[in-house]
Amino acid sequence: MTIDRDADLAAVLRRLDGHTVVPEDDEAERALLGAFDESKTRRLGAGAPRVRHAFAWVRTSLATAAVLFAAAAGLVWMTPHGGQMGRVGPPSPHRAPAAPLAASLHADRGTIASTQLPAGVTPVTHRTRPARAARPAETTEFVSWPGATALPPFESGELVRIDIPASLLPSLGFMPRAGDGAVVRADVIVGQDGFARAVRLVQ
Amino acid sequence: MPVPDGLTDEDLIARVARGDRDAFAALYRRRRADVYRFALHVSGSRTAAEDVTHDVFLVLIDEAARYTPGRSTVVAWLLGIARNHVRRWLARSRYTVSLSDERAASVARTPTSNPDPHDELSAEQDVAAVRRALMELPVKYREVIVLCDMRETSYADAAQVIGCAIGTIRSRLHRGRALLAARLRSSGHDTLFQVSVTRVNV
Repeated sequence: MTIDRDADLAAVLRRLDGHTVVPEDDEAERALLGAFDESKTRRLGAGAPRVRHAFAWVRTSLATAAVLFAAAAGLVWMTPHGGQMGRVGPPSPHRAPAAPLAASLHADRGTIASTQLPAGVTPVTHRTRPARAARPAETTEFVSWPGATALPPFESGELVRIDIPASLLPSLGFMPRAGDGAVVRADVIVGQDGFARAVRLVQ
Repeated sequence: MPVPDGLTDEDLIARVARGDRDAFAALYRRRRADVYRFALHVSGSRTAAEDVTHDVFLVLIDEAARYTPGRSTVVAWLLGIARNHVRRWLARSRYTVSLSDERAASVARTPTSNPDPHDELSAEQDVAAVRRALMELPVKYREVIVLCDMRETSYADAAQVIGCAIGTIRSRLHRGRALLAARLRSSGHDTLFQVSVTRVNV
């Protein structure tokens, strides 16, 4: 069959798929069923050890960063819109700790879903800003975190400023910029489930 | 208690959310291959496919209750999780997805029933050529081609998996197919899986 027609190309690809054998893995199945039992026991409150997800450390790091962010009372992040980091909605004259992000977040970019943060993402330690307002950071608009529409709607979360590898920019939908180094600073909205919902770059 | 026959994926995942172990096992056995194949064809690595498959069903254990019937199919939901894990794996491996001989050999092949060894060798070469060309595509085109052309996922489900509009799926598919065909032509594989003609002297 030739590859000139899409149908033929698709048939070729399905043939490639047909040549692929999915190996049996009874041990993996047993391990998963064991994890299932563990999780069920934990949910029933038997105090069994928590099932560790592959990226549980990421959630722990994010939770720690969120606590630091909230604990730095009086932290004011100035944005071009005059709003505050950690809050979504109309700008408030009061400096507030990071509050749960409101449902108005959806008005910014439409439906936003999320994924876990990729490996290599480093949460930055938030520092208390001096009383004199710092030069506001310029940011891009928020864009949806790629490939994350299958998750529940955003209900609450935190805004975390992190450093991400510049090599991730294309996969996030951003073009690399001339002045970018190996890492770029970004603001990530993390939902109630620990998954990233949206991202913007800090310029 | 064994699950009754004829349960849909949605029935199974609802039972999993309620703590039904047998439903989890049934859903795992039913959809494991879909997740594995997707992860394998996008990552090009059997190790990655095994790890991703395991991680996806680990996520399912605790997150089954988050699945919303009607928003997407269960397969699309699972593949969406798999896609995130594959992308993380690719990021960790610095997107080095060149198809080495070792990696090509790691993907098991089914033996064909064709008695002609020349045909079998030719078919294997064609499989290797297509796999190589597929792995040379940028990830965003590769995953759409794997979903829609290879796994025959609907555009709607593919859009759910990737998290984009259906129009984006169409455009990436169109572009990806063009790139794939160009790569196959440039490698001299314009015609694939030819059936050999045996001359018979009458």
